[in-house]
Amino acid sequence: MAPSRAGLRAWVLLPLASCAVFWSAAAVLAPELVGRRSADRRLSDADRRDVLASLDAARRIYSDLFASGGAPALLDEFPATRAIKHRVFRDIGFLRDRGLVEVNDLAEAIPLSVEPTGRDTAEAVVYEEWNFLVQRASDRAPLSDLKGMAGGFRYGLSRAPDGRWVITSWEPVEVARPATPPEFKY
Amino acid sequence: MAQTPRAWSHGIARRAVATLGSPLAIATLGLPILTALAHSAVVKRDLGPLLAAGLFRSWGAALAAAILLGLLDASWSRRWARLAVLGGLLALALQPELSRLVRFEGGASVGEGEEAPRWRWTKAGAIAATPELGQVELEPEGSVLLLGAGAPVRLAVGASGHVPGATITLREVGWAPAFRIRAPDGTVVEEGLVELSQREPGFIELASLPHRFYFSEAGKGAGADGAPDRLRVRVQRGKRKVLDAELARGEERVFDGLRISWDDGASWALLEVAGRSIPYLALAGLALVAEGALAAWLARRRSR
Repeated sequence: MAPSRAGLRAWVLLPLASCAVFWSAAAVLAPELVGRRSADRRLSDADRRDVLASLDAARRIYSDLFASGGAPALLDEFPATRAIKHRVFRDIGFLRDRGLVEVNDLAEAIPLSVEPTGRDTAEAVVYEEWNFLVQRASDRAPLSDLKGMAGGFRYGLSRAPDGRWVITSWEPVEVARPATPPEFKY
Repeated sequence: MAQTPRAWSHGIARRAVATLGSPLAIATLGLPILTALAHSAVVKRDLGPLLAAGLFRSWGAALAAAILLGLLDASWSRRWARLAVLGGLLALALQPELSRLVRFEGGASVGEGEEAPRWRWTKAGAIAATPELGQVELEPEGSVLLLGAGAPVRLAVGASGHVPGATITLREVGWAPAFRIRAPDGTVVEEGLVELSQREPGFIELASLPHRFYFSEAGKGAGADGAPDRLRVRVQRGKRKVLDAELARGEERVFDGLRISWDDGASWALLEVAGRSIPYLALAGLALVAEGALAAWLARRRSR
C-alpha cells in the first residue's frame, strides 16, 4: 500500500521539527555544540552584581582572617570552596608557625571583566592594590615597613546550590592599572 | 458488544505504545542525534563535549525509551524481524552513553632516564580503565620511543602512536631545571625538578610550603644542554608576591626567610593520551539491524 500524502508529510515534517527544537535548545543550553564558546553565554546583570559582591565579601573576610591570625569565626561566610579556605589557612599557618601575623589591607579593587565560562561558572579579573604589614604575633609589634602590592587576579567562580557565587580558584595575572575603570553595574 | 473497562484501557495502552514506539516517533527522535554526531564528524570536533552534554544525553534517553516501546509493541504483535531491528537500534542508541562512560583522556610526562610516564592529569568516564602506557623512553634527539606497543614506535613532536587501548601523541619536549629551597641554616627544605612547559604553563606547589612557584624561561641557552641560562622565578604567598626575579644558574634569592636557587636539570616530554575502545555495542547493533532487515526481506519474498 502506498503511503498517504499526510503520512509522507508527517515523515518529513516531524523529524525536521525535532531537529529544529534540538538545535535551538543546543544554542541556548549548550552553545559549545553549535560552535560557540562557553564565554558567548551571557551573564545577567544580577549575576554580574552577585559575582562582584562575592569577591568584595571574600576580600573583606580574607583581610579579617589574616588580621586575626586565623580566627575561624568568619569561615562559613567566606564565599570560597573548601580547597581555597584550606589554602588561606595554610598561608596563615605558615606565618603563625614563625610567630608572625600579616596585616593585609585592601587599598583598591577595580573589576576589569566578569565573563561566564559555563552555565553556572564565571571568571572575573580584578586589579587590586594591597598593603602589607608584618607584626610579631605576641605583642603586635611591627616587624616590617608597610609594603604595597599592585596587580591583577583572575578568579574562577561557580554558583553554589544555595545560589551564592563562590571562589573556586584564583591566580595572579599581569595587568596594568586601568586609566579609566570600566563601568560596572552594581 | 460493549468493551469492558479493562479491555478498553488495555486498548488505549496498546495504541499509546504503538504510537510512541512507532518508526515515525523513533525517526523523529533519532534524526537530531544523527545530525549532532554527523556535525561533530564533519567539523572534526572532539566528541567528548557532545557526549557529555545534558541535552544530547536527555535526547538519547528519550530515543532509547521510544525504541523500548517499539520493542514492546513488536513483541506483543510477534513481529520478530522488527524486534531484531529495534534491538539493534537500541544498542546503537546506547553506544554514545557507553562511550562516555569508558572515555579516557590524559596528559602524562616522562623525564630523561625515567622508564614509565607519570600522569599529570586524567579525565575518565565512570567505568573507564586507565591505559597502561608501558615503557616510554625519551631520546637525546628530542623524540620518544614507545616500547609498550610490541615493536618500538618512535614519535617526533606532534606524531601519534598506539599502545594497547590508547593513542599517545607527543606534544612537547621541554626542559626541567632542578630547584632547591633552603632554610636560613642551610638545610634543604625542598628540592626537585620543575617541568617548564610552553603548552601547559602553570605553577608548582610543594607539600611543606604554602607558596606557589612560577618558573619561566628568561633567556635562551648559554648552557651546554641548550637550556636557558636565566629563569624568571615568581613566588606567591596568598595575595602577596614575595619574589619576582630573574635568576642565573646557582644564584640564590631570599623569599619569606627561605633561599631558592636552580641548576642543571633534565629533559622531559609531554604526552597526550586518548583511550581507544572498540564500539562493540554499536557493532552488535548494526549486526542485529542487518539481520532483522534481511529476515523482513526474506519473509516478504516468501509471501509473494
